[in-house]
Amino acid sequence: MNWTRRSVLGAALALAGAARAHAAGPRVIVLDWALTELALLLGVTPAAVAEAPYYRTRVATPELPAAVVDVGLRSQPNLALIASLRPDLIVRLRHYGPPQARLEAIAPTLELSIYDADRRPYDRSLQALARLGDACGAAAEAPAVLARLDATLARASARLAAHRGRPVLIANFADDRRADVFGEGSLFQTALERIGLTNAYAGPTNMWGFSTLGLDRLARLEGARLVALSPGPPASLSQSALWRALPAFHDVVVLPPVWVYGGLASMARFATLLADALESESRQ
Amino acid sequence: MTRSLIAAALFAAAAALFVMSVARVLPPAGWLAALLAPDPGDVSALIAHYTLFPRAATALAAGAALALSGLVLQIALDNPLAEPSTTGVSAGAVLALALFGSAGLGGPAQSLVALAGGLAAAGFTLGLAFRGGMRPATIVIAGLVLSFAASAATTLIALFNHEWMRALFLWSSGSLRQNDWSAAANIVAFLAVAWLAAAGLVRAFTLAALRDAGAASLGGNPRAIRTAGLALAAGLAALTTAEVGAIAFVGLAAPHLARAAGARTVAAQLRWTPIYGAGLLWLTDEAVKLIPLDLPTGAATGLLGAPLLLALAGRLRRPSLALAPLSAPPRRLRPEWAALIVACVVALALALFVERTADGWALATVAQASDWRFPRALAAFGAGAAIAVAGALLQRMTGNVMASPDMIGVSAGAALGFLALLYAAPTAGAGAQLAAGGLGAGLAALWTLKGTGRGAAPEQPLLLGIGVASAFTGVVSFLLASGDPRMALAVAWLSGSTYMVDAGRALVILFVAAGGLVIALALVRPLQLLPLGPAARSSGLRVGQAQMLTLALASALTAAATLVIGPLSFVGLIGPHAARSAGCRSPASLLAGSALIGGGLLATADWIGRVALFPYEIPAGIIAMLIGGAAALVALSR
Repeated sequence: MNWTRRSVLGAALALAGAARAHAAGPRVIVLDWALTELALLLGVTPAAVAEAPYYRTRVATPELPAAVVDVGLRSQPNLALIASLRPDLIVRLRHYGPPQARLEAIAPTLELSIYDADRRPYDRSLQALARLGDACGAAAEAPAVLARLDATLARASARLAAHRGRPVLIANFADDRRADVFGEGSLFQTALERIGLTNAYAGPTNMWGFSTLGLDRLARLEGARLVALSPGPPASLSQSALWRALPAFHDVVVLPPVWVYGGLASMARFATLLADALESESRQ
Repeated sequence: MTRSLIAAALFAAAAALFVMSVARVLPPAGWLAALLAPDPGDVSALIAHYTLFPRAATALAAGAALALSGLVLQIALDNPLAEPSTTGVSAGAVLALALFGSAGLGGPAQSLVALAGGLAAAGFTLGLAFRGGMRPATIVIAGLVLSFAASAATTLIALFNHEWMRALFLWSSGSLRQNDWSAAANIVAFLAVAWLAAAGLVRAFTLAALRDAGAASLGGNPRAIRTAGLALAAGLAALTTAEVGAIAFVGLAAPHLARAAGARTVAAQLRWTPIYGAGLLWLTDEAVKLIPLDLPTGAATGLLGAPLLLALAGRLRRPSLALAPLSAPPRRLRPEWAALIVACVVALALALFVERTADGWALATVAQASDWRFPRALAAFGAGAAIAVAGALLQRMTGNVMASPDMIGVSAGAALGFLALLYAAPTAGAGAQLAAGGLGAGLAALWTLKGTGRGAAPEQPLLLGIGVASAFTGVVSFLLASGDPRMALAVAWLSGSTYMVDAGRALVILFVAAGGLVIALALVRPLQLLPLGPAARSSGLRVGQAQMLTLALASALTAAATLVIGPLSFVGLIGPHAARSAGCRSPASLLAGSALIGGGLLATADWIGRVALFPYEIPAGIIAMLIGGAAALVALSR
């Protein structure tokens, strides 16, 4: 797993611009992880984040400094704690968590959206980045963030040149009988397009850009390279007779955790981890 | 003849749908080969061999096993409304999977954990019941309380482990998707043994069907028969649940279908019930596969079973020898009003002024307390008072101490009303929500009480309440499977949290609770007379009118409380129960005492939820259910 840690750390450092804390910047509390990613990319370290400990294991990069306070559940953050931290700005996700009015009573609240009915998470991420930059006085950082993102994707693309011929299937196993398969409307789709790989799944997807398929439907996507997000297929499935009998699944690649409702950093993390996994394999 | 015809029709319909679904994957010429020895190079044959055929086999086996379990339970408990989940096996299995984080792992690991959880729950229920002399009412109550408490614990665990929540939800909603033949093989093996054991008990069961007194006089031992039957039924249910998740109603419907088709003797019922169960579940599953939503089969049986229960409820009037369920012997002669009021003031003071902050415990100033804490504490107090008064009203009216809104499905009915409104008109205001909830609660109350005429067993309303709750779970699963983003709001509310309450809503619930209590106090005279039954009429009371008024009031109070706190809480049961223990015996003192205790309990639960895992908040409904469940189980074990 050494390759993983090294290259992810490298990517994180590059993306976060060594996470310079804006000492004079506003005190920001972020209630969603995709938006936390964006803040960290801009070099803004939030004073507090909802479910901060879980961010560190499930989103992982950009790294969240240990001093960042945990304000409770993302769906029901602790309002008393938020108020006691005296934030200058609260950043929330549309359609999620406490109502805007309750937060406005504490501090000015910026409502941003990434996954929405129009299913254009990449465009919305760019908008969110710009608006967050404006609100935090870090607007000047945005072009550099995008340049680093482009560079990361370009590096991944170059490393994956040998793998262009075979479409990939991005799956997150829900249990041992079905998986969420990502397609149009997900940031993984944008990442695949930017690094020059084809998505084997072109079917309909929901608001977050995935569709839940049974194993029988997965097996139909023959010839694709199955890329599973951690923890990958449960052991009972990968040892089952069906799995062993289906050639499509034989060379499954399992990536370390990637946040599936993530933002630009998760998209870059996905591209880098995918390049790491496929490259290390072809080296063997 | 009818029996064979009905069975043949069930199987023919299911088989036709099955053949159509296999034909979409594989031409008929290849079916036999795919079933017996699929060509390893042919993906379609492999899919048929490892998913399509085993799914049908599992549906047949699970349907037969659940049906047999339901039949044995109905005989052993001498109650036609019993079904496999009555013993608490499904809730126990789900809780075990949540505790050990093994949902979604599949294979033997998941099955064994679920089996252990289901058996532990059934053992616990039966253990409690054994101490109470194996009375059917005690078993039903113990199973129900255990199920509620276990699902509260499961919700609490799931709140902090999102990654399992999805797998746990998928599993517990009862899906028959398969990757191999193991589930079908496991169920069939145990089913064969269980069926032989049941057949061996035919004579004993026949005696049991003659009721305890008759069986005893004929030389049978009703307690031993009941224990053996329950252990057999619980084992079957636990194994089936471990393999396919919670599938409601098949175990209830199949024995009734067999009886309706003319299977009168126990021997005939044992023969036909598993056949009907297999056909019913197979047909349901094939129908579910036609819906493109990947709807869990358990959700579909939950939805389909509700009308069946409705039909059954109207026909049940048979007397039972079951004894009255638990009731607390009043320890005091007069209510301790001073102590009750002081306890409520302390609870509210805690909720308003004692808090945890980033630096530890702190006392809030009045100004601080008035921001969020004030509406939340008052709303919790009002909701607790309202639901406890509703409980006291229903209990007095029916003369059944278990007839609280949360136990007999009135809360679930209110929740169904809200959900329907949320789906049809997402922007409706609090008034419309209250009306929709009240309507749902009223219909549910009418329904369950219809099945509880004089002479019915005291556990009857509880079993009907379980039915409403199952239908409710089916609806929720269906809505969740639809992927509608509006439902995130519904799920947050279902866990029973005061998080979203603002000052306006807090005032509404307080007003409803206070107004409801005043009206209820005006109903004191009819409430004193209603439990007397026919005697009430001779005292000049318009019984029908008084009953409808009480029912309407209880429904409105339940709807208001459910709107704030969700359908989960034992406060409607525990409030009046504790009030009686505190010496409140007259209707007036019972109503007032219940209001104080219910309000204080829920305000305390809300406070505990806010401080216990600070900064993470636990919904008050879950805390109340854990406290109430523990209290009820302790009361039962005495």
